[in-house]
Amino acid sequence: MTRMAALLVLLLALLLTCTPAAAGDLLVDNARLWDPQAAAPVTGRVVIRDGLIAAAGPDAAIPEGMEVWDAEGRPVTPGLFHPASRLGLVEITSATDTMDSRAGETGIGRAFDVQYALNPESLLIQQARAEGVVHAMSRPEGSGEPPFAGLGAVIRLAPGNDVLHRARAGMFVTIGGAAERSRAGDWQLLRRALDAARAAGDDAESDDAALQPVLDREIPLVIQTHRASDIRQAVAVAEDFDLRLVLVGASGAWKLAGLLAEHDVDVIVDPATDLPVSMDRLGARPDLAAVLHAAGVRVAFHSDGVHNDHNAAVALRTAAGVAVAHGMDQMAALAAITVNPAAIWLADAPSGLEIGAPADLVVWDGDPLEPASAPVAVFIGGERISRDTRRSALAERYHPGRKP
Amino acid sequence: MDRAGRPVPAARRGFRHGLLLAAVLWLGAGWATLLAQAADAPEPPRPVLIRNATVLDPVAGRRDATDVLLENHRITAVGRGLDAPDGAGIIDGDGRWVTPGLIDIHTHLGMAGVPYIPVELETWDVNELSDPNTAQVRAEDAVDPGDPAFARALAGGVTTVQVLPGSGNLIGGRGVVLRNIPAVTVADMTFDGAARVLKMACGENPKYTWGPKGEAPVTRMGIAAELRQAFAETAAYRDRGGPVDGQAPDARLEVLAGVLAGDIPVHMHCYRAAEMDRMMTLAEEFGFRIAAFHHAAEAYKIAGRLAAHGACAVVWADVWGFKMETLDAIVENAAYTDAAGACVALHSDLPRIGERLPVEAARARAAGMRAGLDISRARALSWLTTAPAAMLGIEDRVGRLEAGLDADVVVWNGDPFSIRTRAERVFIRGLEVHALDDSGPARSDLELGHPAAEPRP
Repeated sequence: MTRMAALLVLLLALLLTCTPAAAGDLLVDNARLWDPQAAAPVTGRVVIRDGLIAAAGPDAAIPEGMEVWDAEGRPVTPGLFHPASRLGLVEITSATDTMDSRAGETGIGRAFDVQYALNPESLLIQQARAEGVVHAMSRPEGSGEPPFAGLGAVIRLAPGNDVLHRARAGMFVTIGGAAERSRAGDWQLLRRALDAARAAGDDAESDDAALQPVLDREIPLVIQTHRASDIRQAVAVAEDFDLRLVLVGASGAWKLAGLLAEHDVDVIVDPATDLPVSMDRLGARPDLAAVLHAAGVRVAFHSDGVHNDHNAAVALRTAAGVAVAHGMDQMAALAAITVNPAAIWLADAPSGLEIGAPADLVVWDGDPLEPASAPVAVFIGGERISRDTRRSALAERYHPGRKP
Repeated sequence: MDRAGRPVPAARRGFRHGLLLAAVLWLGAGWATLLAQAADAPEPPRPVLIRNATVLDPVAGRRDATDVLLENHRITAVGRGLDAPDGAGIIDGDGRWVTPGLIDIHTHLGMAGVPYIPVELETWDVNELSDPNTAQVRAEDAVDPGDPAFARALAGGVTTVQVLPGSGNLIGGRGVVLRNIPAVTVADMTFDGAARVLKMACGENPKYTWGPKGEAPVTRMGIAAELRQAFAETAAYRDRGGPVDGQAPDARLEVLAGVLAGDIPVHMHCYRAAEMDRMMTLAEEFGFRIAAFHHAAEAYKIAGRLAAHGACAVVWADVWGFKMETLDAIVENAAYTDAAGACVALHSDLPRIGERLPVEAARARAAGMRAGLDISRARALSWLTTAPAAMLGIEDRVGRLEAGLDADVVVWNGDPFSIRTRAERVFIRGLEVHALDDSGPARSDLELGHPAAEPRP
């Protein structure tokens, strides 16, 4: 109690002595800036006004009277952006009442829209936010109308009751080896659906209407597939219907890097899966990202492993680290978990350390690409957020130095 | 030669691997030598002197600018300014780190081999689901050395693996410890003299495997009751002197009698603190010890109890939330449990984790240090070397860089705890079984010549 009282007095004293600063205004100074769009980290500062980045870099002018947060030379990156998660849709895998990424018995088809399931109180969101994930694509896993999985939503993990940032941000389709289905039929179903939606135009029924933004190039068609033959089919569909195409998985894409670059296809891969875990993935290799990047393809990283949702930040940084270990430039790898996902899912908005981007910053206690590193502070929209989680509370309760 | 005097087979399949070709060329030998090494009476591999490296040992700690000499399958010296024997291969250790080969104490390599084929998942070789007690089955009867995950683990510095049956049964069967050398048969990989543990399981997996079939166990009560019954029958079998005259020994009861006699270590899949406590109590009733709890998500809640019983915790750095009994797993688990005096090893279970075990150790260590614990790099390395070696009864043969031990050695191209680092060379009993080059990990038979995997650019 005495400690609490002392804290209160200290807080009061601070409130009385500090220059009043506008909410969302902050100078993060003495930072080792890892700007994913720069060639290398540099020492500098970030000026935040109204929750947006007003300036960033070694030469950014120091505004007068602004509250200062000293990064003490630590690495600072933009908030991480998970390009292919289930955050907010899933929680405890075996507790099926917490799993909402599949339409299941609702039978809803391609219009299956995950925005209505998002749970801001999810432990996974709490964990991801505390570890520096600020945005994520939350994607559907399956609709009542395969090969369509449904419509994914971009979430923003600011504390509060609403994480939905952009609904219906991508139409997801999954095509590949399956016991009960031929992929030939799935490609035909996809093409028929696109044909029908194009013919129906704006008068379409709800399921057809769900494809209109895809046909209008407002949102991408997202095809989750691995085999090289399927990647070629995906590119052909995108060309025939003049669509924006995003691939997820794409283990065999290293052979088709030139084709993907030529067609401006964005590719979300997992560099940490180099095992041929399925027959479709016999070509899996850890330098996939480096090969695609070298060919000029925009890449982003997710994980096919257990960490993708439950340890989202670690999953992303592990992916980036593995890509670097296998030949990718470290800043390009950082881009693959920050600005590239932003460009894929929020194409029209500034991101990273660009002026006008939301001031989402993570201050790290070590190399941001090392899984062993952790944030010392996370700022979302210029506000430092609490990093307390249920798991950190457990760690505190059971600390071995604590007297029972 | 190993302890039993049996020649240890070299990389029989090695000539199919480009990487091993590189290794052979580096060793200045050639096909003939490697094949000779693979023959039944091999010459020992050429001596290797690693010079001027950063040597990290779980016991001796970190030594800079240090040499390691491998001769005649063994480490023969670790120190400064060692002389190279005639004909030795020299590795420039400048900028490189050297550790003992890593031990992954919980894998299903070769049993749950990749690729995962949908129609085979019902009958894959991990769980013998014909009865909840299959103490008599052995993992080694199911292991396919062709599983590409072996070579990926090797590329991550893993030189010894324990392969275990799964956790669908209460008593799943015997594990086997393998040297991670490219081979065609399990016999060529078997780590002679290592423990052959009995894998058991508690909690959700046996419940959900058998309960829905209307068979015991349905509940955790049923799990304990079934185990008590099995050990009571075993004690009676033992007390009457084994099989009745003229009848064959009961394979199940013989194994469980080995547990009661303390000859067969029990490694038990178990997550919750309360449940681990009940299992230790049950074991104590029957006079045996549970050597290790695997996964042990809540080990940190009862670390003192584990230490008192003599049970180790074999854990992930941080895998949580995939079922209710994993909800309380925390990244501090290994560090807290170690700090409380219980032995700790890290495991992969999943091949992708096994490819990067030192990074797991680094995470677990960093979490402990953030909580104010003092954990040396050497201590974190012990979770992947000396600790699992002791659990498997091979601590005087592998797990340290010390004269007299098997030459299971990894040369890393940087700090092994960094995700940016890769294993540059891996030796098992002095034979180079992995060398980093641009062509990626060794091609398994599955991938070899397959148009989806070739050609490498």
